[in-house]
Amino acid sequence: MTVKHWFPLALGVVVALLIPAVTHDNYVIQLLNIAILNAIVVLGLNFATGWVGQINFGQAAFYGLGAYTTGIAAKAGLPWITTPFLSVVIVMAASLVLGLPTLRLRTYYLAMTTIGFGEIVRLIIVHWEPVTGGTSGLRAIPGIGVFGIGPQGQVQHYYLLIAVLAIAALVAARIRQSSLGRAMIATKDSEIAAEQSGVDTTRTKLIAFMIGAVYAGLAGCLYASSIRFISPDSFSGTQAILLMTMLIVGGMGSIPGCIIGAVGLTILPEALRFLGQWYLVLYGLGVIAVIVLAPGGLASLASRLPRWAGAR
Amino acid sequence: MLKIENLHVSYGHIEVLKGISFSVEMGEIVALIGGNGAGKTTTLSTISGLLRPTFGSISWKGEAIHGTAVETIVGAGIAHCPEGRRIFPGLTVRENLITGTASRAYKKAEVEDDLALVFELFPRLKERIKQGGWSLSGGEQQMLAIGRALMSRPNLLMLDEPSLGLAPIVIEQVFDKIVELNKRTGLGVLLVEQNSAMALEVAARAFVLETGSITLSGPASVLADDPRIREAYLGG
Repeated sequence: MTVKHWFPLALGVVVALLIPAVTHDNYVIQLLNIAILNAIVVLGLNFATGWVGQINFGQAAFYGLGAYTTGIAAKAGLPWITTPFLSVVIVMAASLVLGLPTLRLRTYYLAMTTIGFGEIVRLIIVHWEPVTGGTSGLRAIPGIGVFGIGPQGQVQHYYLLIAVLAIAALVAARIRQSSLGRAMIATKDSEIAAEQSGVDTTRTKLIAFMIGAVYAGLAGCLYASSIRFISPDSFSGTQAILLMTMLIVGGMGSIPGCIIGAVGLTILPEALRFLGQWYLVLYGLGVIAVIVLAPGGLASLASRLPRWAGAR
Repeated sequence: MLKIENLHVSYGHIEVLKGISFSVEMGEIVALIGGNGAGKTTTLSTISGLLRPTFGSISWKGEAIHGTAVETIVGAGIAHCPEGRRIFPGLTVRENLITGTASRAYKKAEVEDDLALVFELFPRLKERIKQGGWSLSGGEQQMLAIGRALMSRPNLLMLDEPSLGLAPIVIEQVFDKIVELNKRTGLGVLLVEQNSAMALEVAARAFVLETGSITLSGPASVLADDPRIREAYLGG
């Protein structure tokens, strides 16, 4: 880590920690909390999509699976501490069953399978009304608490979620530096050359996909127990595409990019609300502008800055 | 050490290899020469497990290896440095090299030793150690691809067209390094080349492959003087 690396990082952390001191608006903080949860989900998506190059439209479904597992378990009276484990077990099982047959194949099979999977999960949530609450969702989900201690109010939740995001980003960075991370990039760059170097590409793809699902499952667990209301809309196919957009706009393969993309695209629709129905036009144009002007995503702009500065 | 017997390989209905047999002994440099579409790359890809033979056998150190997974064959000691290099542009030079160790248990000191060996052979790579693979020149990429193959500690290195797209002076360097490696470590080399003159110069034995069959074979020095070879591959 050089000055170039830790300066923006430190700046980001300071800004993140100061936000609640600047605004006391609960609505703003809750929006940020959702943005942070989305960032964790996008960090997860980055493993299979950004690093291994597999198109995955199932991330919203894993997010929802984690959220509903926690919501249902907590409402049934299980202690909160069991819910992250339950959510992780469920999403791991689902991603294993989904990934094992499809990831042996090359090209776009994962994209097709995960679209189907997303739809299956959505249909189950909508139609299994006695358990999932159907389209009206689950309300009054018990909050986070271990032995009666837990965050109170939006601001405390905000700090907790920031801490989880930081850990999620650090773990992702460590994995990228490990032999598994190298195997992921090698698999994306050339599957044949990766195998010829001794990389088990099927295993690498499967592990990346499962790690991503675990990120989404944990974020779902925290979503259910911090927002305390879940409905199928939050985990639909549209959300899956939105998560993919966040990854592309922020910068595929870049950890800061995942966070910037997720936070930016979660806040933007709310910030543009004054435009009424026109906000979608501006939103769409903005996304297109980023893709055209910075094909590597917003994160790639940051790496260009030193070059501009150096040219002067 | 590597023994290929009556190997047939087809792409769909088209038979590309029509029953070839040859062997590579321990520490030997063997060249496989022939024109476009003769089946040279197919031969290497079948040995490394990317393709399955329709008939015939491939044995390595006395054990049949056809039908085994690609990464298992690398682990058994056959490294394939593919045509067109296929380095990993998204990884740094160092990461590219370390990825070559994926087939064996990771011991940090061993990996550092092997990296040192590769940098000794190709000092240019050491200068580029932190650079992304995408930023390397063609010659540097070829060095990196060979270096990555060596990181798996092979007993046999299969090189597919290492001279492709390189300047003559770089080709010379690459071949010098191949011979140096062979002399120093006793590494066996199976070399596929269109640049037949160069290949026959470094190899001990050679085989000529024509439309899926071996038409000539023998000591490289004898083949280099054979009028048929001179006419077809060495420009008269």
